[in-house]
Amino acid sequence: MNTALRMLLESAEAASEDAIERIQGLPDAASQLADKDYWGSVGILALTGILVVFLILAILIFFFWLMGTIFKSIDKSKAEKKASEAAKAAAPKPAVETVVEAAPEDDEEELIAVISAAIAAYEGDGGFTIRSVKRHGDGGSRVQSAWRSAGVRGNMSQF
Amino acid sequence: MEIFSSTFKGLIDTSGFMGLDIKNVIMILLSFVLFYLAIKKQYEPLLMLPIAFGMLLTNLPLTGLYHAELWNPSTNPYFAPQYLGTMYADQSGSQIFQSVFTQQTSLDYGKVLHEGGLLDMLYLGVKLQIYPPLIFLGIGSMTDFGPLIANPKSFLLGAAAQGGIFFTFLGACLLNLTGLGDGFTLKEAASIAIIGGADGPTAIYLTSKLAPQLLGSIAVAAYSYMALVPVIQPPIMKLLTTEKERSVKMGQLREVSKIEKIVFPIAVTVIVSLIVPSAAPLVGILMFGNLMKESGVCDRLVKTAQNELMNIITIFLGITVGATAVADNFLSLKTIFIIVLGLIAFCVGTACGVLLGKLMYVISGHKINPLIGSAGVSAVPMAARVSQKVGAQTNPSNFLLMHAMGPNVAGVIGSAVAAGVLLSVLG
Repeated sequence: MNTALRMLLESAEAASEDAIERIQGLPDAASQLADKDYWGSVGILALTGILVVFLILAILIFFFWLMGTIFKSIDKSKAEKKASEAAKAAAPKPAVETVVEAAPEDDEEELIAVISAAIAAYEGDGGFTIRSVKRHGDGGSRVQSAWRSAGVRGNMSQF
Repeated sequence: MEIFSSTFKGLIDTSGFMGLDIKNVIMILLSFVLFYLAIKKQYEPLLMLPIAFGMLLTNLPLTGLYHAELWNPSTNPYFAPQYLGTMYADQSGSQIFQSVFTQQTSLDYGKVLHEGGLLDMLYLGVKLQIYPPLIFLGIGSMTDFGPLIANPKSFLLGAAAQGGIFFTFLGACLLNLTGLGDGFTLKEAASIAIIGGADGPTAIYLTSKLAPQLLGSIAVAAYSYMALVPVIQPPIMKLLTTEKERSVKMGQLREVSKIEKIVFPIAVTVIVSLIVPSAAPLVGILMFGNLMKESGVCDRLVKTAQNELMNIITIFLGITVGATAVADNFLSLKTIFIIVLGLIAFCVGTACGVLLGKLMYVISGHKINPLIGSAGVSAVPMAARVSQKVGAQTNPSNFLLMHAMGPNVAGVIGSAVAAGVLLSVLG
C-alpha cells in the first residue's frame, strides 16, 4: 500500500505539462499507456480539473455572496426609509372606519370593487365607508404573501 | 432494346443497392431504433430525431451527403505527418527512443467546399464550433439565474456534480488496462468523460475539438442519458439519503433585484473568461443570451435567440452530428464502452452532487435538503424536476423545484468550465 502510494506520488511529481504534451504526441492509446508518466499525468489532470472547477465556482460564490449582502443591506435601508416616511405620513391622520391596503393606480375600479365586496362580506351589511384605498409598499413586496405562496404552490404542483 | 438494357444496367449500377454492405444495413436499423426512441418514447425528440435521420442519410450508400473521409485528416492528400524529432525517456537506466510525429489535425477546407455534400457543408458549423455556442445563446436567453443568485452556495453543488466527468476520465484510462479494443487516447477519454456534464452542446463542443471520430456515439449517449435522467437519478438519490434528509423543507428564497440579474451574466463572463479563457465561447455566449433577456431592452433579439435561431441550429446540429455516425466509426467496441462509461459518468455525477448536498445538510444544521445536489448535473430543467419529484414523494408538501434550479443552472456553468479545463490541457 505504502509503496503504491509512494509510486503514485513520484509519478505525480514527474507528471508536468511537458509529460502530458509528450503523451499527447503519441499516436495511439497503447503507446500512451506505455509512457512511464501516464498514470501520474492522468491523475494530476483529473485532480486539477475538479479543483479548478471548484475554485472558479468558489470565486463566483464569494462574488455573488458579496453582491447579495450589499443589495440586501441597500434594500433594508430603503425599506426602513420608506417605513419611517409612511409612519410620518400616517401619524397625523385620524383613524377611519376601515383602512384598506392597495392603491388606485390607473384604472383600478374593478380592484376597488372587489376589495369593497370582500370587506362587505366580512363586515356584514352596511356600517362602513371606504375613504381611501392605498397600496402597501411598491407592489413588489419582498415578503411573500400567503396568496402568492398559494399561487406558486398551485403552479408547481404539476412537477 | 439495347439502349433500354444499358440504361437499366446503368441505373442498377448507380443505385444504392450496389454499395450497400452489412455494416450500412446495421447502421440503418440502428437509426430505426433511434426513431423509435425519439417518436414513441420521446427521448429528447428535438435532437434525437434529427440525429437519427442524419444517421440514416449518411449510411445510405452513394448519397454523397456526407463524406467522412473529408473530415479525416489522415486521408487528406496534403497531409503529411510532421517529424518533430526524437524523444527519449530514461527508464531504469536504459534509454528508449521514440520518434514523435505531430498529431495532424489540419483539414483541407477547400476540398470540403469543392467536394462536400449538403451535410458536409452543415457539418462545418460543428467542426468550426459555431453551433454549440449558439445553442448556449438560446439557453442563456431562456434561463433564470435568480435562484442561483439568491443562494450562491448552489454553485458548490454544481461543481461537485462535475466529479462524474473527472472520475470517468480516469475510468476510461483504466479501461485501457484491460486491453480490450484499441483503447482510448487521452483526448478520447476526455470527450467520453464530458458526457457526465449532462450537457449536449458542451459534449459536442469538446468532442468536435478533441475526438471528432467519436462525435456520433458520444452525442447519442449524451442525449439518451439526458432523456433518462428521471430513470437514472432517483435510485441513486434514494440510496444515498435517509428519509429524514429527504424530507427537509427549505426556506423561501429571497427575491433578486433586476440589477443583480444584470450584473450576474457580466460578472460570470469576466471571472470565468479570465481564469479559463477556453471556456469563454460557451460561458460567454451563454451569459450574453442571459444579459439580453435580463436587460429587458432586447426583446426582439431574445425572441429570436429563444425560438427561431435555437430551432434552426438544433436542426443543423442534430442532423450533422447524426451524419458523423458512419458505420466504420460507430460499429466498434468503442461505442459500447462509451455507452457504459457515459452511464457511469451520469451516476457518479449524481452521487457526487448528493454527497456534497449531505455535507451541506450537516454543516447548515439540517437546513439544506441533499436532494437538490443531484440537480448539479446540468440537464436543465429535468434534473431539477427529479429533485422536486423525489422530495415530494417523501413529503408531499415539500417544494424543492426552485431550490434545485440553483444547482441546476450552476451545473451548466460548471460543465462548461470543466470542458474549458480539459480543452486548455488537452486541446
